[in-house]
Amino acid sequence: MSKRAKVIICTIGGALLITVIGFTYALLWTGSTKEIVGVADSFHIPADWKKVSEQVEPPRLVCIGDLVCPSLIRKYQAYATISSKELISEILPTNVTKVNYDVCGQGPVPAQARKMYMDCAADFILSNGYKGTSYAYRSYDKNSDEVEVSVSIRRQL
Amino acid sequence: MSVASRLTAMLSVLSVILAGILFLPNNAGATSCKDVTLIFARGSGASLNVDENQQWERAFRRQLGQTKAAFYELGSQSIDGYQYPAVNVSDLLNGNAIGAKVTGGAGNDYGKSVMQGVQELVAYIRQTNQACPNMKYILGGYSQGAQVMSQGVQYLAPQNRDRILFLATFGDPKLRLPEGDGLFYVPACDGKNFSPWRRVVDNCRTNNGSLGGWNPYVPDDMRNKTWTWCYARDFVCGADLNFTDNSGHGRYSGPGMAIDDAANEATKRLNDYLKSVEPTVEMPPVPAAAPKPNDVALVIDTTGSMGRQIEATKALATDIANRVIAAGGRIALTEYRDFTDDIKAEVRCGLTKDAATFAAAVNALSVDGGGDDPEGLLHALMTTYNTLQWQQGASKAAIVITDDTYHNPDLIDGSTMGDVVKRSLEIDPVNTYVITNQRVANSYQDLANGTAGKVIINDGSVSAAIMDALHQVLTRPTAQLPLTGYEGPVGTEFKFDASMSSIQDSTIISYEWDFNGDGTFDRTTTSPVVYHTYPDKFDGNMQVRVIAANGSSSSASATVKVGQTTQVIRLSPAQGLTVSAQSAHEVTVSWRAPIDSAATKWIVMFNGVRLGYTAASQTRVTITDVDRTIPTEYGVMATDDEGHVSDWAMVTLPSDAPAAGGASATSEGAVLNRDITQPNSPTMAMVVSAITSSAPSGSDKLIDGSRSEPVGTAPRTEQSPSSMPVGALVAGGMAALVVSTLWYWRRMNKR
Repeated sequence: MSKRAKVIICTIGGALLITVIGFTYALLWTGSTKEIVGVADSFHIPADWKKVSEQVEPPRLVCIGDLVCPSLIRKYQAYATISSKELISEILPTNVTKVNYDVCGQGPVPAQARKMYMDCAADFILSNGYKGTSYAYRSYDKNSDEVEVSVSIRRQL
Repeated sequence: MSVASRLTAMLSVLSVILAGILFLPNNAGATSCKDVTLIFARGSGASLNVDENQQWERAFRRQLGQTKAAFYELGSQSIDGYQYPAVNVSDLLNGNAIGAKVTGGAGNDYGKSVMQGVQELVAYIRQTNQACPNMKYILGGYSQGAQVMSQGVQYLAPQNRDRILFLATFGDPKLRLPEGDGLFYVPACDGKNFSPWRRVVDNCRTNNGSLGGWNPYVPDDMRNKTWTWCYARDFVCGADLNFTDNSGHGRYSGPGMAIDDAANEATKRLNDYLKSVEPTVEMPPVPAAAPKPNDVALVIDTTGSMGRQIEATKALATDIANRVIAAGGRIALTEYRDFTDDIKAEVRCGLTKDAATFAAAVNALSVDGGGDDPEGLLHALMTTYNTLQWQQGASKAAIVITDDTYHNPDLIDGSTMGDVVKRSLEIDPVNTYVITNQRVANSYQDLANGTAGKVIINDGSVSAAIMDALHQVLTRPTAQLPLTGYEGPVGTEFKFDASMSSIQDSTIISYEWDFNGDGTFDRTTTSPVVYHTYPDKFDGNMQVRVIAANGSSSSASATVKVGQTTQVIRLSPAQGLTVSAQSAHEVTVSWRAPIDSAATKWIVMFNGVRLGYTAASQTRVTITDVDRTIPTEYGVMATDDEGHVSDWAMVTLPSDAPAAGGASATSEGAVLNRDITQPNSPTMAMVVSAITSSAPSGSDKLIDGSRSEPVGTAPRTEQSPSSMPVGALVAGGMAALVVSTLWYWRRMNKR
């Protein structure tokens, strides 16, 4: 094999290798979740609320799954006597530009395998390019003040 | 106002409240069955009850109005052992995305996840069908969940698909749109040949989802009941071939988007259906959940310290009796004092429906004695439990009214708290409610917990406390187990099924299981079915406590005998054993007791597995989930309390076509004998092995006591899931990526 042929093969091979590495890197790259977590932290969550779950999907170059990249969902357990609508309005951050409440105070509808029913929903848009939805769930037991609040945030598409 | 007039006024108010509780219309049980259940399956990697499911529920809530509806999300509980996990595909390193692509969504953890969802859906619909035969379903699924739904309807039996009003799929990776086929001429781009299920599909060239479409997408009877949405830039459902831009896939749950659109259409169809059946068809009476009669025993402390409240207690006891009797129940009365008194524990009135008899017994009560602080309650409860003629099948409760603690062990008969709890469970159980003051309330907590009752604080108003207790007794759920006893060798996996439990005007939210009857609940589930294996010999009771959303509870118990093999054949066998197929998956087994029968129980066996006991008076059982595509064998054996047994009476039901019913077989004149001293006979061993391994063979299908596979037709285009080596998956994935890229490049050039 001539030297020229070797050079061509090595060049093509190198280019292919770099392409494969670059492609793999792009597929697997995930960004920092710091920003979206910071957005979630800007909500005015009272200190006595208990965070029961959090799911964070990081930014990705290739977002192939069913979860929006980036997105975050937090759920809190709390006790409150005020209405669910008031509750959500109190926790929204100061940079909310628009909020739309829905199905608030309509009363319970059975949901099997869940202890609580949806009592209020609010879609909101933040000034920093994020939007989301917050839901408040109440106990079927009328004597209970327990409430579960979820906050879902994603970058505006 | 005098004490008497106050009491009268209080009773009037309570009467109104109780009337609401007790005099429910006869069809009140129908309120627990909804017009429709809305089932949703979430997308890959999503938690339960977030984003798309929340939007689904919210969109329907806006429109349902007074429609009786309930929501269910796949994966929120285990049904027959199936629970949809919605595995994550975002993380490419876990191999699920590549595995799904290579296997067309059928293999790898992804395919297993989908199958769990399919099986959960099938089991859920099968179970709720039995409880609510007129209920309809609306189904929805997003992405992986959309595949669960489009695959699930293929597994459902046609008669169950009839009950589906609407199916909505969003971003389905198995979407199939034939009108998108074609290299040069694509009918959909010319506005032609649209599939009935096409709702919003932004790219006219979309023909197959990213995992390859079902062909056909849905069964024929679902064509006009299915709508699908596939937005632009959604690689998953095939709207875009560029997998690096999947931004359209997350848009279905936005305000006014696909999920809202689906809810609008589904609600319209639901309302049309409800209107169509309302004016023209006289609805057959829905069999109300048979109101279970209540056997209630009042156990009243009549020691001296009760003097201040005895008259009010007597008045209220009479009132309670009237109301229990009016609701079809029976009432009894026990008074008790302590070991130093002449009266220790006396049943003053047995369970009766005669209000006058009860009133006379109550009016004769007076207070005296007591001596030390603790009283003889444990003896009183044992006396009550053992003396009363409890009615089989009734909900049983004892309401204790006292102001002090109790001797443990009892100083009259030596009974301990454990003895009382055990006896309560043996009787079915007798849920014991204790009304007492704050000072001693804690001392009764073990009794209440052990018998699935409650402690109710009397904070000065004995009437309110008594009514609270009665309210809880009468509005609690009905806990039910299908069998009164279970038996098997050590290592047997028992299936305890409380799915027959029910409640009016509330929802059952959890089940607590006490496998050894010690009063401690070992496991809590949201599913009514659990499997449990006893590692050693055991002879005792188990119980399940059913918890309702309104805070009430009740329990059911059964005897369990594990590893009891000393059996002597002395009894006469069952006669006339007959097995009748009621439907494709349900058979009824009936027999006659011989005239000289000394049996106290009948042991029922199916395909070599002992399903459990029935009482001596019950000579008919129904077995559900039977796979009748293979011959099935049934047996009945008599037994008594001393462990004596009869020969097995046995019969084999031949296999039948899946849709057929009505076949029967009888053992008359053909009683087969079997060596029952060898419980590990080959037949038994084979079946037990099949149960524990859950092998997908015919023998482990649908027997009560084992896990089930879905019934109905098999999917038409699926290959069986298989485990692939990681290397093959990676290689296949890379090849698929290269081929996809080349195909996309060529297609873009042609455009």
